[in-house]
Amino acid sequence: MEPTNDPELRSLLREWQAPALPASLEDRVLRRQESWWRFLLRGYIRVPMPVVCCVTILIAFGSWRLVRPGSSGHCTAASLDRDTAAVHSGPAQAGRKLPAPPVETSDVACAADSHC
Amino acid sequence: MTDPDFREAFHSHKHVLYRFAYRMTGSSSAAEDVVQDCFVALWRKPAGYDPGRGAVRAYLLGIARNLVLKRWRDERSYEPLEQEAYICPPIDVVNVERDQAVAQAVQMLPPLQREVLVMAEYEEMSLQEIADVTDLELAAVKSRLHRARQNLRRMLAPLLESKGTKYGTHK
Repeated sequence: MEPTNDPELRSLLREWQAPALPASLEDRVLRRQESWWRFLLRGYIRVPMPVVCCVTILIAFGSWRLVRPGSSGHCTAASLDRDTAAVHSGPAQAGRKLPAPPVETSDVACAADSHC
Repeated sequence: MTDPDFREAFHSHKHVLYRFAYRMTGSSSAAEDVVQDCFVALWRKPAGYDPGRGAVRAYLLGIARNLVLKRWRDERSYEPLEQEAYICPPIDVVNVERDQAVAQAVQMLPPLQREVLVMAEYEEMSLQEIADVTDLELAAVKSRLHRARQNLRRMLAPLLESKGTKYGTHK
Protein backbone atom coordinates (compact mmCIF):
# COMPACT_ATOMS: atom_id res chain seq x y z
CA MET A 1 0.00 0.00 0.00
CA GLU A 2 1.97 3.04 -1.19
CA PRO A 3 1.08 6.26 0.60
CA THR A 4 -0.16 8.61 -2.08
CA ASN A 5 1.29 12.07 -2.13
CA ASP A 6 -1.63 14.34 -1.49
CA PRO A 7 -0.79 18.06 -1.78
CA GLU A 8 -4.37 19.13 -1.17
CA LEU A 9 -4.59 17.24 2.10
CA ARG A 10 -1.12 18.40 3.07
CA SER A 11 -1.96 22.08 2.59
CA LEU A 12 -5.13 21.63 4.66
CA LEU A 13 -3.20 19.88 7.43
CA ARG A 14 -0.69 22.72 7.53
CA GLU A 15 -3.43 25.08 8.66
CA TRP A 16 -3.15 23.54 12.11
CA GLN A 17 -0.10 25.13 13.69
CA ALA A 18 1.44 23.99 16.93
CA PRO A 19 1.86 26.74 19.55
CA ALA A 20 5.28 28.21 20.23
CA LEU A 21 7.51 26.46 22.68
CA PRO A 22 7.00 27.95 26.18
CA ALA A 23 10.06 29.73 27.57
CA SER A 24 9.59 27.98 30.90
CA LEU A 25 10.60 24.68 29.31
CA GLU A 26 14.18 25.78 28.88
CA ASP A 27 14.38 26.59 32.58
CA ARG A 28 12.82 23.28 33.50
CA VAL A 29 15.21 21.22 31.40
CA LEU A 30 18.50 23.08 31.67
CA ARG A 31 18.20 23.82 35.36
CA ARG A 32 17.75 20.11 36.06
CA GLN A 33 21.28 19.27 35.09
CA GLU A 34 22.90 21.96 37.23
CA SER A 35 25.13 20.97 40.11
CA TRP A 36 23.49 20.11 43.45
CA TRP A 37 24.74 23.19 45.28
CA ARG A 38 23.25 25.43 42.62
CA PHE A 39 20.05 23.43 42.89
CA LEU A 40 20.07 24.06 46.65
CA LEU A 41 20.20 27.77 45.99
CA ARG A 42 17.83 28.09 43.04
CA GLY A 43 15.96 24.84 42.68
CA TYR A 44 12.47 23.89 43.64
CA ILE A 45 10.62 20.62 44.03
CA ARG A 46 7.03 19.65 43.76
CA VAL A 47 5.68 18.05 46.93
CA PRO A 48 2.38 16.15 46.94
CA MET A 49 -0.33 17.74 49.09
CA PRO A 50 -0.86 14.70 51.38
CA VAL A 51 2.83 14.79 52.26
CA VAL A 52 2.60 18.52 53.06
CA CYS A 53 -0.42 17.87 55.32
CA CYS A 54 1.29 15.00 57.16
CA VAL A 55 4.50 16.98 57.71
CA THR A 56 2.52 20.00 58.95
CA ILE A 57 0.59 17.86 61.41
CA LEU A 58 3.80 16.21 62.66
CA ILE A 59 5.53 19.58 63.13
CA ALA A 60 2.51 21.00 64.96
CA PHE A 61 2.30 17.95 67.23
CA GLY A 62 6.05 18.03 67.92
CA SER A 63 5.93 21.75 68.77
CA TRP A 64 2.98 21.22 71.10
CA ARG A 65 4.86 18.41 72.88
CA LEU A 66 7.90 20.63 73.33
CA VAL A 67 6.12 23.67 74.72
CA ARG A 68 3.67 21.71 76.92
CA PRO A 69 4.47 22.42 80.67
CA GLY A 70 5.95 19.44 82.58
CA SER A 71 6.57 17.46 79.48
CA SER A 72 10.32 17.38 79.91
CA GLY A 73 10.48 14.82 82.77
CA HIS A 74 11.87 11.48 81.83
CA CYS A 75 12.24 8.60 84.26
CA THR A 76 15.89 7.76 84.56
CA ALA A 77 17.65 5.44 86.94
CA ALA A 78 19.34 8.39 88.64
CA SER A 79 16.09 10.26 89.23
CA LEU A 80 14.46 7.12 90.63
CA ASP A 81 17.35 6.59 93.08
CA ARG A 82 17.10 10.23 94.16
CA ASP A 83 13.36 9.91 94.80
CA THR A 84 13.76 6.67 96.75
CA ALA A 85 16.46 8.20 98.94
CA ALA A 86 14.23 11.18 99.66
CA VAL A 87 11.35 8.94 100.69
CA HIS A 88 13.45 6.97 103.16
CA SER A 89 15.21 9.96 104.68
CA GLY A 90 13.80 11.57 107.76
CA PRO A 91 10.53 12.89 109.10
CA ALA A 92 10.18 15.51 106.43
CA GLN A 93 8.91 12.79 104.18
CA ALA A 94 6.79 11.07 106.87
CA GLY A 95 3.54 12.07 105.31
CA ARG A 96 4.44 10.49 102.05
CA LYS A 97 3.03 7.05 101.42
CA LEU A 98 5.66 4.32 101.27
CA PRO A 99 5.39 1.37 98.99
CA ALA A 100 3.65 -1.60 100.59
CA PRO A 101 5.96 -4.34 101.95
CA PRO A 102 5.98 -7.62 100.07
CA VAL A 103 3.47 -10.16 101.30
CA GLU A 104 4.94 -13.41 102.49
CA THR A 105 3.13 -16.52 101.41
CA SER A 106 3.18 -18.03 104.91
CA ASP A 107 1.03 -15.15 106.17
CA VAL A 108 -1.74 -16.07 103.83
CA ALA A 109 -4.19 -18.48 105.38
CA CYS A 110 -6.87 -20.12 103.42
CA ALA A 111 -10.28 -20.50 104.88
CA ALA A 112 -11.40 -24.08 105.29
CA ASP A 113 -14.26 -23.75 102.88
CA SER A 114 -12.36 -21.83 100.21
CA HIS A 115 -11.06 -23.51 97.10
CA CYS A 116 -7.65 -21.94 97.06
CA MET B 1 27.64 13.57 27.16
CA THR B 2 29.15 16.89 28.15
CA ASP B 3 27.17 19.90 29.25
CA PRO B 4 27.69 21.83 25.96
CA ASP B 5 26.68 18.73 23.95
CA PHE B 6 23.52 18.43 25.97
CA ARG B 7 22.68 22.11 25.56
CA GLU B 8 23.26 21.89 21.83
CA ALA B 9 21.01 18.84 21.57
CA PHE B 10 18.34 20.66 23.55
CA HIS B 11 18.43 23.80 21.41
CA SER B 12 18.51 21.83 18.16
CA HIS B 13 15.65 19.44 18.86
CA LYS B 14 13.36 21.04 21.43
CA HIS B 15 11.00 22.48 18.81
CA VAL B 16 10.60 19.22 16.87
CA LEU B 17 9.92 17.28 20.05
CA TYR B 18 7.46 19.83 21.36
CA ARG B 19 5.51 20.00 18.09
CA PHE B 20 5.39 16.21 17.87
CA ALA B 21 4.29 15.79 21.48
CA TYR B 22 1.72 18.58 21.14
CA ARG B 23 0.15 17.08 18.03
CA MET B 24 0.12 13.64 19.60
CA THR B 25 -1.36 14.66 22.95
CA GLY B 26 -3.34 17.77 21.98
CA SER B 27 -2.18 19.48 25.17
CA SER B 28 0.63 21.97 25.62
CA SER B 29 1.26 21.06 29.26
CA ALA B 30 1.45 17.35 28.42
CA ALA B 31 3.80 18.18 25.54
CA GLU B 32 6.04 20.17 27.89
CA ASP B 33 6.21 17.23 30.28
CA VAL B 34 7.08 14.84 27.47
CA VAL B 35 9.88 17.08 26.17
CA GLN B 36 11.29 17.53 29.64
CA ASP B 37 11.24 13.78 30.26
CA CYS B 38 12.97 13.14 26.93
CA PHE B 39 15.89 15.39 27.79
CA VAL B 40 16.09 14.11 31.35
CA ALA B 41 16.37 10.60 29.89
CA LEU B 42 19.13 11.76 27.56
CA TRP B 43 21.00 13.46 30.40
CA ARG B 44 20.71 10.53 32.79
CA LYS B 45 21.52 7.80 30.26
CA PRO B 46 23.59 9.32 27.48
CA ALA B 47 24.92 5.85 26.70
CA GLY B 48 21.43 4.94 25.50
CA TYR B 49 22.10 6.99 22.38
CA ASP B 50 24.15 5.07 19.86
CA PRO B 51 25.36 7.36 17.04
CA GLY B 52 25.72 4.29 14.82
CA ARG B 53 21.97 3.72 14.89
CA GLY B 54 20.91 7.13 13.67
CA ALA B 55 20.61 10.81 14.44
CA VAL B 56 19.93 12.31 17.87
CA ARG B 57 16.61 13.57 16.54
CA ALA B 58 15.42 10.04 15.75
CA TYR B 59 16.59 8.85 19.16
CA LEU B 60 14.79 11.66 20.99
CA LEU B 61 11.65 11.25 18.89
CA GLY B 62 11.70 7.56 19.77
CA ILE B 63 11.73 8.44 23.47
CA ALA B 64 8.98 11.01 22.97
CA ARG B 65 6.91 8.46 21.09
CA ASN B 66 7.25 5.90 23.88
CA LEU B 67 6.30 8.48 26.51
CA VAL B 68 3.26 9.62 24.54
CA LEU B 69 2.06 6.06 23.94
CA LYS B 70 2.60 5.24 27.62
CA ARG B 71 0.46 8.22 28.59
CA TRP B 72 -2.19 7.15 26.14
CA ARG B 73 -2.23 3.62 27.58
CA ASP B 74 -2.42 4.97 31.14
CA GLU B 75 -5.30 7.27 30.32
CA ARG B 76 -7.28 4.89 28.10
CA SER B 77 -6.45 1.42 29.23
CA TYR B 78 -9.82 0.23 27.91
CA GLU B 79 -9.04 1.21 24.30
CA PRO B 80 -6.76 -1.01 22.24
CA LEU B 81 -3.67 0.71 20.88
CA GLU B 82 -3.60 -1.36 17.74
CA GLN B 83 -6.45 -0.11 15.60
CA GLU B 84 -5.00 -0.61 12.18
CA ALA B 85 -8.30 -1.04 10.40
CA TYR B 86 -10.16 1.66 12.34
CA ILE B 87 -12.27 3.85 10.07
CA CYS B 88 -12.85 7.33 11.46
CA PRO B 89 -16.33 8.74 11.01
CA PRO B 90 -16.74 12.15 9.31
CA ILE B 91 -16.53 15.05 11.74
CA ASP B 92 -18.80 18.05 11.96
CA VAL B 93 -16.91 20.92 10.38
CA VAL B 94 -19.78 23.42 10.42
CA ASN B 95 -19.21 26.36 12.78
CA VAL B 96 -15.67 25.22 13.42
CA GLU B 97 -12.55 27.04 12.28
CA ARG B 98 -10.61 25.14 9.64
CA ASP B 99 -7.54 24.73 11.81
CA GLN B 100 -9.68 23.46 14.68
CA ALA B 101 -11.34 20.97 12.37
CA VAL B 102 -7.93 19.73 11.24
CA ALA B 103 -6.75 19.48 14.85
CA GLN B 104 -9.87 17.54 15.78
CA ALA B 105 -9.46 15.18 12.84
CA VAL B 106 -5.80 14.47 13.61
CA GLN B 107 -6.65 13.86 17.26
CA MET B 108 -9.29 11.34 16.22
CA LEU B 109 -6.81 9.16 14.38
CA PRO B 110 -5.66 6.04 16.23
CA PRO B 111 -2.31 6.86 17.91
CA LEU B 112 -0.23 4.55 15.73
CA GLN B 113 -1.60 6.17 12.57
CA ARG B 114 -1.34 9.64 14.08
CA GLU B 115 2.35 9.38 14.94
CA VAL B 116 3.25 8.29 11.43
CA LEU B 117 1.16 11.05 9.90
CA VAL B 118 2.58 13.75 12.18
CA MET B 119 6.14 12.75 11.35
CA ALA B 120 5.47 12.55 7.61
CA GLU B 121 3.22 15.56 7.07
CA TYR B 122 4.32 18.01 9.73
CA GLU B 123 7.96 17.11 10.31
CA GLU B 124 8.58 16.08 6.69
CA MET B 125 10.48 12.97 7.70
CA SER B 126 11.22 10.31 5.14
CA LEU B 127 9.58 6.91 5.38
CA GLN B 128 12.91 5.38 6.37
CA GLU B 129 13.39 7.92 9.18
CA ILE B 130 9.89 7.17 10.45
CA ALA B 131 10.64 3.46 10.31
CA ASP B 132 13.77 4.06 12.40
CA VAL B 133 11.91 6.07 15.03
CA THR B 134 8.95 3.72 15.29
CA ASP B 135 11.03 0.56 14.95
CA LEU B 136 8.73 -0.68 12.18
CA GLU B 137 9.24 -2.22 8.79
CA LEU B 138 9.08 0.20 5.91
CA ALA B 139 5.99 -1.54 4.55
CA ALA B 140 4.18 -1.11 7.88
CA VAL B 141 4.98 2.62 7.88
CA LYS B 142 3.60 2.99 4.35
CA SER B 143 0.47 1.09 5.27
CA ARG B 144 -0.19 3.19 8.38
CA LEU B 145 0.43 6.43 6.54
CA HIS B 146 -1.92 5.38 3.79
CA ARG B 147 -4.67 4.54 6.28
CA ALA B 148 -4.12 7.77 8.19
CA ARG B 149 -4.48 9.85 5.03
CA GLN B 150 -7.52 7.88 4.02
CA ASN B 151 -9.14 8.54 7.37
CA LEU B 152 -8.28 12.22 7.27
CA ARG B 153 -9.72 12.59 3.77
CA ARG B 154 -12.91 10.98 5.00
CA MET B 155 -13.14 13.19 8.10
CA LEU B 156 -12.21 16.42 6.37
CA ALA B 157 -14.08 15.79 3.11
CA PRO B 158 -16.22 18.96 3.40
CA LEU B 159 -13.06 21.07 3.59
CA LEU B 160 -11.34 19.46 0.62
CA GLU B 161 -12.10 20.50 -2.93
CA SER B 162 -11.98 16.98 -4.32
CA LYS B 163 -14.32 15.53 -1.75
CA GLY B 164 -14.38 11.98 -0.51
CA THR B 165 -11.45 9.67 -0.13
CA LYS B 166 -8.96 9.60 -2.91
CA TYR B 167 -7.62 6.18 -2.27
CA GLY B 168 -10.19 3.92 -3.82
CA THR B 169 -12.80 3.39 -1.11
CA HIS B 170 -15.14 6.23 -2.19
CA LYS B 171 -15.01 7.92 -5.55
